[in-house]
Amino acid sequence: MPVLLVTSDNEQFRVEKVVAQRSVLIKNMLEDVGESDQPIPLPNVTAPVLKKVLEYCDHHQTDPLPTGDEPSADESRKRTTDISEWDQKFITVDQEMLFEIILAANYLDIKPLLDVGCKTVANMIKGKSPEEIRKLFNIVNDFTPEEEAQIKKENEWAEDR
Amino acid sequence: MLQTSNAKHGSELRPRPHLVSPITQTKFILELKSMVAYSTQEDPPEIREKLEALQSQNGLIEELQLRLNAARLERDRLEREIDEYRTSIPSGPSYIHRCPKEVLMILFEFYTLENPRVVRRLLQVCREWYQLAISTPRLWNRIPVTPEYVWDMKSSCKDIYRRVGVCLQRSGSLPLELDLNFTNFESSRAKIREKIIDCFWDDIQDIPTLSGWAWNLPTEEIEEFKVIPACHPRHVLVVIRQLTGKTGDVMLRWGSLRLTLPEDPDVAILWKRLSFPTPRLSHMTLIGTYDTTVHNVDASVAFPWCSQAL
Repeated sequence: MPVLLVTSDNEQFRVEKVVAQRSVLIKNMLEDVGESDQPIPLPNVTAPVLKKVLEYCDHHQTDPLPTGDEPSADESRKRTTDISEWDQKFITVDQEMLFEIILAANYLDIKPLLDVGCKTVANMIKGKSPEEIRKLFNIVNDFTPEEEAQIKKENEWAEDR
Repeated sequence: MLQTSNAKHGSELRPRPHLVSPITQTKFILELKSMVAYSTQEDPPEIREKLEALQSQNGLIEELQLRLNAARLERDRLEREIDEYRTSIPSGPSYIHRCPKEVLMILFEFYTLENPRVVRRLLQVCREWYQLAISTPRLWNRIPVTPEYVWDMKSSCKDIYRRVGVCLQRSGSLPLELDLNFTNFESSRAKIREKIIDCFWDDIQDIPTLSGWAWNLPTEEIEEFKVIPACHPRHVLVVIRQLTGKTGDVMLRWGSLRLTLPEDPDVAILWKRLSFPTPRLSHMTLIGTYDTTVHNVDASVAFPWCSQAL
């Protein structure tokens, strides 16, 4: 049975339940309301972003669902920054859309998608200096020169020993 | 981008006042002084009075000129600093600022996954990232330690010691995930002999004979810490003591351990430093030969001491 999702800009998306349920938020909502034709409002997601998110959910609809528990030390260790080929193509978007997808994945509780987004950002800043990171994301350096010097001094260590 | 920013704030559009070069100013002052010098005893009193007044005015001009110079320099400095500040302000929107803390934390974890030491870069980006990073214990409980293959163990270990101290403090009560790689850990004896070989390396072609000679040198007397402290293994042992705690208190926090043993049998003694209880240790990977004969380790030393935790 299809599910009707309504975005913040009032666009409606009719999707298969198995696809929509990749979102833990939607899955819980469906379980709470039971079988219903009622549309599910998603006030924090716009249509272009939901379209992209549903593309991901559709492709991964047969993946095992995450348990929802906090990852154990074991699982954390198994985590890598590797991204599958399909996911890499999927997430090759401009910076604005990348963060929109991350925010939507966080709101809709789609952990694997959130991980893909965060891994992508982590890979983007890998090997970059603090100044380069600031430039990449338009972050203002709000340290005073004294604070900056102090932080640098306190945390000055080699990265390979 | 620079032009846009400047144009926006108008700093480049404002006409700059005419600047008199310091050389011209000095010349002008000297000319004024020379006019006074032309005064003679033959001048009538009223002219002398005028010359004195003129001298006073020259002095005033000189003083004002110096103050003007200082003011111009200060103004230029302030303008330069304001320009630098304005051009450093990002021109576009910052999408990452919309991410809540929990998302930034995931991002930080992935960023530090391969090498936890790079967390230091995150600290230097902005205040928000600094506060978040230092208050996220999961960014600090993974501690890799890899003493380098260098002569100056003192400096190398001091750097490691400082980082480990920060990690132990910021990781709160989380179990520690240690990756101790002692592949390059050597005795003073080995380092001194290698240093001697290095000295003759370019002049002697028979390297095997050179090595054999160097390895048979009686270096016992100079292996003591007080003779050549820089290369002494004591520096590494200080780090190990930090990781175990004086009474084993830090070792109680060990959650996982990956230990790569040194190849040098003379320093296998580090085993003895690890004989404290490890009740939270759930994973251990041991790399390298552990042979009591080869490593000359006291067989009574059991590791991990609290083996039932595994």
